[in-house]
Amino acid sequence: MQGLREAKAKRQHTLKAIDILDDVLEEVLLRLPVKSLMRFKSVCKSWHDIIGSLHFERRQLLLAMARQPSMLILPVQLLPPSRRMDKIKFFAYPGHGTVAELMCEKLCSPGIRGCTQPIHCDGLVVVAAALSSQIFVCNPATKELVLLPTGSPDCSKKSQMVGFSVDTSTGEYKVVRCFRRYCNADMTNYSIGFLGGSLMFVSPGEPDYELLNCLLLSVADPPYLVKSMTPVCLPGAIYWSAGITVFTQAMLRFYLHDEQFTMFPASPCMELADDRSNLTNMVGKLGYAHTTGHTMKLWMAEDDGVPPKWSLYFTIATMDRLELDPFLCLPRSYISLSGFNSYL
Amino acid sequence: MAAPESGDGNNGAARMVTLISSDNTRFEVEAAAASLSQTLQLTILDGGGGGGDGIPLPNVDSATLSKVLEYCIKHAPAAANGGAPNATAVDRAELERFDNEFVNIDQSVLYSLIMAAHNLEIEGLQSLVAKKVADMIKGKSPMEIRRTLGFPDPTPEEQAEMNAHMLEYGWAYE
Repeated sequence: MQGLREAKAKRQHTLKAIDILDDVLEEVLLRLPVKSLMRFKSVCKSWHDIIGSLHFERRQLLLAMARQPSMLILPVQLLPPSRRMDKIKFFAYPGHGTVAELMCEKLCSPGIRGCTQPIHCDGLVVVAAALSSQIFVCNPATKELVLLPTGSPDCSKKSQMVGFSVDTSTGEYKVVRCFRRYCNADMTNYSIGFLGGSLMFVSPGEPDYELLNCLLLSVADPPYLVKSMTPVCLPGAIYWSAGITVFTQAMLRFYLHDEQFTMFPASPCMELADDRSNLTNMVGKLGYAHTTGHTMKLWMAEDDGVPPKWSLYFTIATMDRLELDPFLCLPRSYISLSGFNSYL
Repeated sequence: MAAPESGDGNNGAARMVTLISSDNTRFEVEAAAASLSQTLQLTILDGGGGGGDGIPLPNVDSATLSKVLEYCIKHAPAAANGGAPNATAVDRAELERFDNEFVNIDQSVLYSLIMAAHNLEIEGLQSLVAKKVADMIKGKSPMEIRRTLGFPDPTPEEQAEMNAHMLEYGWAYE
């Protein structure tokens, strides 16, 4: 009799447990790494359903965002040839009144002298070491920092040109690296190569998840000279300033889905030898900041199927001779410019 | 039994409430500590739990409740500061040390604790225990999870599904 009652009490206890198990279970599952979640999908149907639900995915994303630092700092100053940093370091800055903390670091042999302008896409950050062929990918959400396999070295004494964006048709994140096999001083005899590859994640297409690696393979070599500057990386395509010779300016557009180069019209007044003007990403649009003397003209181009056309957006007259790089255009027509040691 | 250190009967002494566990044990505790529970907070705001009346908690036994209150008493001062933005690093480190030790307990106690935290809606405790349980199970295989939870052995179809999943997502099993 007592045994029966115990059994009944036990069953009731189990039932009660199952009643609220889903909520409690969800709290536990939310705190698991993605690799475990993937494995636990096969524990049973109810675990599978919870982990696969849209509701769960949203909550997980919110938790991940709450864990993320609000600002990422990467020291990028260029060191003299005699000095090298033995590590690349990313710092997290949670906000005003706090101290930036080291978030992740990676030893890099034989050391780096500095970094090129970082490129980011959907929370992933790609940065290339200046004057070397090393490329790093950082995922602040998982605090991972990965060194991509290095390919052929760049023969020139200039910084490498790395692009990074998302293939909008598949959701793959691709890195493209341009390097010079050889190039003479007046840039008349040269050979340019491109390497490209998709970033591989433990769970494909999910930038939140553990980053594995990326294999850079040779993609089509364009018969053009590519300017030594960070290309503009928009979703689906990467835009490089290029030319057949120094005097015939054009642009190359690299589509991420077919990994092919196509020609793109150059902005008016674009010149390969012009070191003061820059291609720029103006909140998801292709821009070109052309600087002459005390003026800067900002040209913008839409690339939406119809033949692209550049149009003059505005002209700024500055007091000093500055190198300006517009990087952000806000509503109500505020524009952020970064100059040499100055912000407007 | 789980009465906090603050002096009884002093003027300005903190208001006390009584909680009654499922096995009829009475716990007297500061209202501020008990209010960490969203479920209890409203009752307490309405003046419940004071005097001779207690608040019955039919889903929580005395062993679990005393553990829950240990957490609440420790966390009440920080919670009263509204998440304590001005808490010193020392205070925060002390709470963290307490939390780590607090969940260093037997699996069955953890299970009762997470259920109680859920019933009483104590957010901090819920997430603390959930994190601990997650850390405990994250390296296990699906079969180990099934055994831990006392699930019956998988049917041949379920087993086939599990094998197929393992083949497809080999990286998750490494």
